[in-house]
Amino acid sequence: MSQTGIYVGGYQRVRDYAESVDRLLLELKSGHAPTQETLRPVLSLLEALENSQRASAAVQAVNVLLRSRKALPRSKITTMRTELQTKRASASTIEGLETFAGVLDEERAAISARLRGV
Amino acid sequence: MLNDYLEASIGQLLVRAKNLQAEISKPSPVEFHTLWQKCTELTNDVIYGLEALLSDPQYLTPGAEAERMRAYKRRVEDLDLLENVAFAALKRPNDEDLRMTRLAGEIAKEIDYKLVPPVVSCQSQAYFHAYPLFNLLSVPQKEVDFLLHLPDLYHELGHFVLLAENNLAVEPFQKAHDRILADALGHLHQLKSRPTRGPKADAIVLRMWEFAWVRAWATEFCCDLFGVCAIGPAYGWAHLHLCMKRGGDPFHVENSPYSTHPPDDARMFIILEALTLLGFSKEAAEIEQKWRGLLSIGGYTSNSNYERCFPRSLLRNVAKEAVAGYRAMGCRTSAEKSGMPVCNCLNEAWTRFWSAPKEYAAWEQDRVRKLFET
Repeated sequence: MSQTGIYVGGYQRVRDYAESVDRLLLELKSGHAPTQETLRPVLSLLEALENSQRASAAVQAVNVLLRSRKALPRSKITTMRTELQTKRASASTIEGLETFAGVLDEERAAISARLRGV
Repeated sequence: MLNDYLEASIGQLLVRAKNLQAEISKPSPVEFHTLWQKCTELTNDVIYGLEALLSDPQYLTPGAEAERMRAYKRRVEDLDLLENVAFAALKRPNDEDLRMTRLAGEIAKEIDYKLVPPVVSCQSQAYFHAYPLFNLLSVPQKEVDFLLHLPDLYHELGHFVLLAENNLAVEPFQKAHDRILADALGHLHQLKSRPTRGPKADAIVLRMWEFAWVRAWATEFCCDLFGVCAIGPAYGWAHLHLCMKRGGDPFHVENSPYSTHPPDDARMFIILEALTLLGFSKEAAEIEQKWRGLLSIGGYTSNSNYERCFPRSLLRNVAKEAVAGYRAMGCRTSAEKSGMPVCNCLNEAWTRFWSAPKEYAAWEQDRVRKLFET
């Protein structure tokens, strides 16, 4: 029942997370302080990842994904979130966001391939 | 390189997106207007997103090539999905689509469904598919002429409920889902401390199960239970029917991160638990008896992976949480019976199926006609 339903639902969430992280990266790389609108979704996601035991299924999925790739340990996520809350981002945080964006994009592509039956 | 590539490719995609919009710009049945509007909005989002890739200074900043490339791929896929699913449904709406869409509307009314009922398109080449992004449900072409698999429509309605955002009306069911998932992950965590294959091999299998629970299993269980609450015993029969026709070993636990469904026996177990909670103990016992027949004929028996991953106590809790979540939404359960003609018809079909198997096919054709007349 509804194999595609799962994938479309999962695809959309991961796609939106990937979009949010890329938007933030774009603002940071263009040399401007990120707007609250751009920061909010990424901060929410990072915060949810820090407390993932109580998080939604979508966040849990990202959490399992990050752990399986051994990318972004919890301490790194906390550092990134703390820095971004002050609308700053060190080179290390930008690098962390790039890793995060890459993992999300890989996952998006994997779900998409499943959706197409590839 | 990237700039030249995007200039040409995006130019082509913009033409494609605008052509799609033009193709559906013609009178269509009122039942399809929500889908039409959704397509228009989403296609315009893709168009603006593609244009931004060519003109937004942030994308043109040196060092932003990777972000630009990823954004481009996302927009290509957004458009692919729109074209292959939503526009495909809109281009050829027919009488069967209309009948099924109206039926979904009737079901929504009967159960006091909290969301706008989806448009149904009879174009699926596989089984029932839900596309929450478009509020679209795709069903096999000829399912409209039969009754026995229609309980699966209720399962699909559950997918839309789980993916709705910022809506307090459906939050109790979503919270039940989150509790079920947390419970399952807690169980897997406990298993880590009791390795059976050696810690390394165990960790790999448990990681796969963890993926499967967060990506699919918790969702599928909840949608099954949404279906049971809404339509009752017919849902259990439909699950048995599907397993008889297409199922493999119902105790097989997939060790893949992309497993789409929990094992069929676990699904049947939670269905029977929920039926009992809803007051259908007698019907649950009848379904269980037939289920045991299926297991016996197929020679299927439980295995250690299944027992470890899906202990009865965990599954009982899945059923309990989801039934409570459904009730807390204020949706009507099938136990109410009055004012639920579609639900009653689909349950009657299964009663007839077993009481007069030889006459069933003829009876069904007559009953389908009547169902869609009302």
